[in-house]
Amino acid sequence: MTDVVSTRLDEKEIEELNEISERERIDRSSLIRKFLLAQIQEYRLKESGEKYRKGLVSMAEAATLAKVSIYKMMEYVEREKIQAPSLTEPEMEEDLKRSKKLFEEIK
Amino acid sequence: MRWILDACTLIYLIKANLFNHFMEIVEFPVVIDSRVYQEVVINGKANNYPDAIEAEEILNENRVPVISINVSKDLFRFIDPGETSCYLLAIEEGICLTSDDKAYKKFLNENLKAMRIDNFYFEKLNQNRLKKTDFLLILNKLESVNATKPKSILFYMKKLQEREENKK
Repeated sequence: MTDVVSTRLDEKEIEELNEISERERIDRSSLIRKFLLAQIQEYRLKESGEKYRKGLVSMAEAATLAKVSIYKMMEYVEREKIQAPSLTEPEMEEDLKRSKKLFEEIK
Repeated sequence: MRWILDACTLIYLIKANLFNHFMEIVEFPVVIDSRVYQEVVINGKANNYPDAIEAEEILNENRVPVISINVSKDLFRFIDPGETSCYLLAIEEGICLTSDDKAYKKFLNENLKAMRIDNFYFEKLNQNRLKKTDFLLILNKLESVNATKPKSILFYMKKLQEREENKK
């Protein structure tokens, strides 16, 4: 189901849209929709990327929240040079011990 | 015993060109869930990601079983269906292998057996299944695809130094 949404644009903006629409050979309404959807996706990526940066969500969760594939989320994180918080040294020490123990258990 | 791979780890191993080598040293069966397969292969191919095609080929070549599991009741734990399926598979049996620190912490909070991929390789080094040079190369490859962090690499370098000193 679709619905009509109206918005106000000034003349210059309309002119620009008309130019692009002509260049891209798609009607203006489709072009606006295309731009809007792309911007919504970018907004979601930014929001999820921020949660990933703060260590609130994993990469897979960020992708799910942004409604994009994991590949897309990975690309975004790489493009924006986003780094999730690193583990602390005591955490890494603890992890090593845990991993060693797990390997001993499965021997 | 079995290893359960999440989607990110699977993608990173493929991106870093480490998957076949990983299968050689892993020793126990590796499984993935159908949600992970869907995310990595099906959705990836639909969006023309070359890694998705490689993932399909490599999973077939290595005969990695794809297990279906119902995640609907446990989705609240992880948000992502792929991570939820890893959780459910690990409850049955196995160790979740992940490159994601947040996912790793969540698995631990759920009392699951989980291991970070860089730790996996460090233990393989300790078991003499890897040479030091191979380990360092693997760390570099993992870092190049974002599967480990510079801080972790520094940590392992320190550990390697301690190993050398202990040998003396």
